[in-house]
Amino acid sequence: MVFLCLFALVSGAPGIARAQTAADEYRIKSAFLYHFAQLVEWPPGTLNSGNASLNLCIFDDEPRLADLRSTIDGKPIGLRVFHVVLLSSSQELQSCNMLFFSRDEARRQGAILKRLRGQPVLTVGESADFLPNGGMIRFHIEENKIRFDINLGAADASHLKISSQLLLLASVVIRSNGTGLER
Amino acid sequence: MHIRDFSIRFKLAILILTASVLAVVLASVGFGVYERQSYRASAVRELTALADTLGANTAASLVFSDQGTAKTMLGALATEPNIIAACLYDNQGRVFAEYRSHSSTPNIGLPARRRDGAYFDGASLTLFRGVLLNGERTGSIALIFDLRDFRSRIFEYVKIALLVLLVSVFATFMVSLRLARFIGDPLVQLAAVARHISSDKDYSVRAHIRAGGETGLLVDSFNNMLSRIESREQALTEALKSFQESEERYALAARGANDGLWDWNFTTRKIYFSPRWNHMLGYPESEHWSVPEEWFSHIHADDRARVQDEIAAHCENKTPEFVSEYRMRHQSGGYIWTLSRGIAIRDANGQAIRMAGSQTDVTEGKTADPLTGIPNRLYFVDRLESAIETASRQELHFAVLFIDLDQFKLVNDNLGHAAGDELLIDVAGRLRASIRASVRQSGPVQSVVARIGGDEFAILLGSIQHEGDASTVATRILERLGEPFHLEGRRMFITASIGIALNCPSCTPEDLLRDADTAMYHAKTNGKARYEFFNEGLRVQAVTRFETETGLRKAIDEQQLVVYFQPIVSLAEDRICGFEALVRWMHPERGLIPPDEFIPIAENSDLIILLGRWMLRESCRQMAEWQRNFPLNPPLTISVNVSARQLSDSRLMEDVDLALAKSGLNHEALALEMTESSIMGDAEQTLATLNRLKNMNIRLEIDDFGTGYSSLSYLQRLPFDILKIDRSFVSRLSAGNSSMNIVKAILELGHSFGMDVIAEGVETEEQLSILRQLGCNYIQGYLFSKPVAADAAEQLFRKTYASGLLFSSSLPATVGLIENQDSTEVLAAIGNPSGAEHAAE
Repeated sequence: MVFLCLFALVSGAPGIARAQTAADEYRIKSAFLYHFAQLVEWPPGTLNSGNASLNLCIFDDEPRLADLRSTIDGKPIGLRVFHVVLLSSSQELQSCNMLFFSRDEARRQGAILKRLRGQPVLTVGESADFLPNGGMIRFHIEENKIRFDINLGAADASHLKISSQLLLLASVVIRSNGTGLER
Repeated sequence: MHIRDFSIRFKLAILILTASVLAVVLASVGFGVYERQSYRASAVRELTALADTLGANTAASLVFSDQGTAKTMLGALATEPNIIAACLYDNQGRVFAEYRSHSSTPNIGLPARRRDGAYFDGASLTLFRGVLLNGERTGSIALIFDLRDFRSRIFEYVKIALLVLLVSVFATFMVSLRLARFIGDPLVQLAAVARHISSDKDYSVRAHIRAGGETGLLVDSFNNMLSRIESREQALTEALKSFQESEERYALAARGANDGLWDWNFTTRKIYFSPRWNHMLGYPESEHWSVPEEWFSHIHADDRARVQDEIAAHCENKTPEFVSEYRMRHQSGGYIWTLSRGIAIRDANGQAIRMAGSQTDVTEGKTADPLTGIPNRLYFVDRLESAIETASRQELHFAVLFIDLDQFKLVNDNLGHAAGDELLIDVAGRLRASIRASVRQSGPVQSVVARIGGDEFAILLGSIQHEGDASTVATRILERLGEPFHLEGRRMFITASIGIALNCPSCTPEDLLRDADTAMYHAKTNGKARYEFFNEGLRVQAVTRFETETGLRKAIDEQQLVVYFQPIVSLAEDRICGFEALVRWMHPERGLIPPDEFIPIAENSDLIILLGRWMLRESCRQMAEWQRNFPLNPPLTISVNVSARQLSDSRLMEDVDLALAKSGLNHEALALEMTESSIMGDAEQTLATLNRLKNMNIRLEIDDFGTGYSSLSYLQRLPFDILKIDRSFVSRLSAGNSSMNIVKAILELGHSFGMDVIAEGVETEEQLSILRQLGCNYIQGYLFSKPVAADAAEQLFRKTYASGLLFSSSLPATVGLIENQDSTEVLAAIGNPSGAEHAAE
């Protein structure tokens, strides 16, 4: 699968988001993660006041950790600073504003998503069942381009407001009733 | 032709037209530029808004590399017809998405990304704008805007503006014509009136123009100005007229007064001379400017310095005005007398800066005798001078006649000055008539009759051939004057003595007059009522007379004079009772000079005063001495002669006083003898003098009684004590003849007035006996003694004093008396009883 993906990326059509290698793919995805933070509005009081950081949590055993971290850690986002926070266990979730699951971590995503339901944490994943499991944004490759789908219902449940621009760019937007809305 | 030469209406029209065109053009351009700018600004604004909208919509697609969405977004521009194309660039400047309008030119090139901003490029406007996502730049967007629509709008706008311009020019032109007329017409009319006035000089014209505002003010002011000019012109004309009148009046007055005018400006050193001034000097009658030197060069050399001094004195304010009489050379060569008056004009410092005045010809007043109207001495001498000059040039002859009336003094004294004046006027008329009748008046030397003194006339007889012509005239004059005169209702006969001098080459006027005078004097001494020619002999006589005069003056100083005494014998007492003092001149070279040679000369001058004073002093001194030596009762007396000139001299009293005081002689011993004629001069003054002498107890004696008028009235009025019968009666005295009757009458007359009578010139016993018989008081004469020197007189008196009686034995006694004298003189005296000595008494 990874191979396929990699292949797809490498042999994909030219473009900015063309994923030629796995490292390139995740550098692009980390940029996307950063831009998602820009286009999502957290409910008031949910971002750490006094703490000028917006934390993206990634499990420390994440294999793509280095690629993700090197691209976006420390970038300013509005008045805050974008931080990549490494999680050793799921116990440390309370400091997270965003949470990314790569496809390799799909096994523990179900429980965590369940735990995070209704919490103002933007969840981004890659697995096919990520959205049905309660995840909010899911990456997928389409014509060698990195695209994404949005589970608006999950976001709404967590009181996160996703910008219409982001919605406009999503390949599929799933409403709260669970029905997928294809663009 | 320059624009300023155009009519004001045209200028105004041009002005309005230009202004309105300029306004329209400026407005159009201004609006156009504003329109363009605001269109561009609004285009940029619209494009910016569009770009921002598009940017906002595409920012995310740029971030997420979603070109499809971006393109879809740009496709929305199809609703904007003016957007030709649009382009989206990523942050690296690469084209991310693009859009092209269908209606636009299909192959429009997409611009390379440039910096943000608006870029106008001919028919299009390209706007570059950043695309931002949450404040972060994600790329750029370019929009290309089609400006062709805008350009057509501008073109439309220009068309409309041109139309507006045309319409406004036309409308303005129409309005400006009206306006220009409205403003310009009054001015044009005013200009026409002004032109008319300036060409016709008719200041009564007024501008009748209806206008308001400044133009109305201008018209009113113009008319006011005309009124003022008219009244000023009128005043000026009147002033000029009155000035001309006054100038004419002044010129007439000056002309009428025969005055020349001069006006001397000291600053410019120029002097103005009026026409009359020039005419007076014989130059053409025109005014001219000259230098003061011209004036002074015409003034007689003898007067010039004086006149200049007088002018200077007035300029220095020493005299209130400049008045001067002087001679000026006439163009004809002669001199005229002028009277000049002038006043200086001074500046603030009192410095004379100008002097002006008149000059009057006073030659006539100066040269005419005011009484008779004939020329005076001044003029006569002047004419004589030019006659001498003319005669010497042309070898002509002329004569000078000197005429003196023989009896003028008598007329004046007896009939009064008025009669005397009348006589002189008559004489002047006769003289002129006789000249007219006998002399050709044409000739180089004009004849002139002049009065040169009291009763002295002179005639310049021009153009004579020889002496005879002068004689003829002189004879005629004597004839004319011989005719009776009617004065104060009386017929009077007057004679004159005439002296004639013929011109000589080197003679001066004074010489000729003097020579004629000498000749006249000669005529007088030759018996009056005749004429005499001057000759060298007379000149010698005159010179002698002159020498005598100077010699006599010296003689008085140098004691050359001697007093001689002739005894006066009292017939009652038959003894010498006094002496008559007679002067003798012992000249160191000429010997004894008889009195008739110098007394008349002395009487013609002041010498007689000196002589008389000396005689008085010397006679009194001698008599005082004798009285002391020979006391008698009554004492000896001394008779001293007093001349007419002494009588009228104020010093006489003083002299008498002094002589008496110095000698100590008692006043009663002095008798003053005077002739009838000498007391006739000024009867009133003489009477006063005589009364004063009388009061001093001095006796007064009439000499030569019977030869003059022997007026009874003065015998009565004048306080005389003694009367002396003239020798002419005594010498002719013989029993029963007429002389005896005259002597008898005189004696009776004298006695009746209470006077003693002396008979002088007694030479014979017969005369003595007759006189004694007739009751004469005193006698004097050669019968007893001629005048002798003091010592001889004293000797003579000593004898009679000793004997007491003179006539004890009549003749021999007399002879005996004279014996001691020069016997030859006595013999001569007896042989020639009417000797020369008589004249001396």
